[in-house]
Amino acid sequence: MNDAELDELLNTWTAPPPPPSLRENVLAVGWQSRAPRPRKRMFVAAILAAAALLLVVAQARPGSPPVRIPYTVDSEFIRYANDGSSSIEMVTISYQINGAEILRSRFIPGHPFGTALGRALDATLPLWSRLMARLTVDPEMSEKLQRHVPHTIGSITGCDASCLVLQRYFFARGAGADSACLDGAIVAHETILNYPTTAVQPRMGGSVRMTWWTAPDLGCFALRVTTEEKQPDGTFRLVSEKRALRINVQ
Amino acid sequence: MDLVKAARRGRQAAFLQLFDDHHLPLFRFAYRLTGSVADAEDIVQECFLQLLRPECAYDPRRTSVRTYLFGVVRNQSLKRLRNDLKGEASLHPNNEPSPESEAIHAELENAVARAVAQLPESQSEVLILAHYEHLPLAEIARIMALDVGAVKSRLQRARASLKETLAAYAPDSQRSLERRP
Repeated sequence: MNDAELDELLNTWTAPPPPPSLRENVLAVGWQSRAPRPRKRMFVAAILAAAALLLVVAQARPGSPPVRIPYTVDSEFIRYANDGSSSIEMVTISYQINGAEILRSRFIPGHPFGTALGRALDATLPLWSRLMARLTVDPEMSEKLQRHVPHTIGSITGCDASCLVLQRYFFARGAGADSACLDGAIVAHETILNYPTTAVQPRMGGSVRMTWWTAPDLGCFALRVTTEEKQPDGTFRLVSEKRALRINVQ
Repeated sequence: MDLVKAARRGRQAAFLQLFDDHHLPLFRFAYRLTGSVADAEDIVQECFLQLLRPECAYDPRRTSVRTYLFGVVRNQSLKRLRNDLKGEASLHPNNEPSPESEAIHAELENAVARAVAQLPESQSEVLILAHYEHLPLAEIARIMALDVGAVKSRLQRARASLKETLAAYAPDSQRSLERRP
């Protein structure tokens, strides 16, 4: 047998065509489950673009006020470690209206990106909360809460561990004739930055004790707030503090 | 941008282009090595999936995508053949002799398939790639990680062996087969 005859014989062995299912299977099983998905990428890109836009907006319009502001207060927030050392975690500019402290701007010392992100969250979270409240709280309960608001005093008391999200507390207004803004135990009277304040410890329970130095002449703005935690020996350790640095009368 | 890179970045059109360009010869190669349409289908599918995996070793600077894909099909096919042999499965689904009543062509086809399957593994691969897929010896050498000389000698040995095995089916003998009642 010569080479040409062998080739002729070999050519009788044909291979069947691949089943049509091969292409479909490669696409369905392989591509869909393994390849990066452009739609997912587009979604991530859209989220990033929205976040970037939010950052720009937050930077450009830091807390534009809806009403005339009679004064603003510059405050610093101090965190105390177990070893007694302390650090400034945030500086704010804010004012009080209808019993609630309104943030005008803030920054985290040494963290410009955290500052920008925090401002973006400050702009976004209240909108998100309002949206969720509409969806989850029934109208009757919402109305009750709204009626309760004028009877409370609120203050920014610090921020979370990353300082991206603000912490706020609200307590019942004082109802006595002692000019205290808050309902609770009066522990001191003190003048801070030329404004008389009354130091009150609201009823909290648990192992945390807060003391608020509120100024009636500034709409019950809390010029100083301390937070203490109860230790195993029964004493209280100072863990954080809000302290007014300057009052800017407009 | 090359098709593999584009496919890995999520462009389906690039992936389909790769598939359409290469799947036919890969399927034929897998089928001739395993003798099974189902196995060949699985192997080719796996071969394309492997190309998309992040840990895939394909490097366009070292080899062409066709060479890489043939290499994957070869490895997958040999793995299956070895598993089949361990399980004492048949080497080739067509290795049962055809009844005399069947067409001469089918008998010849089976005889050739059996003869190629009976070759040593390294010879049958070279023969299939060279004769059926018309790949240059240099590319076969890259697929099989051999030098060109070794590929050439394996091809010659394979052809010599087939000439002996298929001597009864040589054109003269074939004509005598056709004359059988």
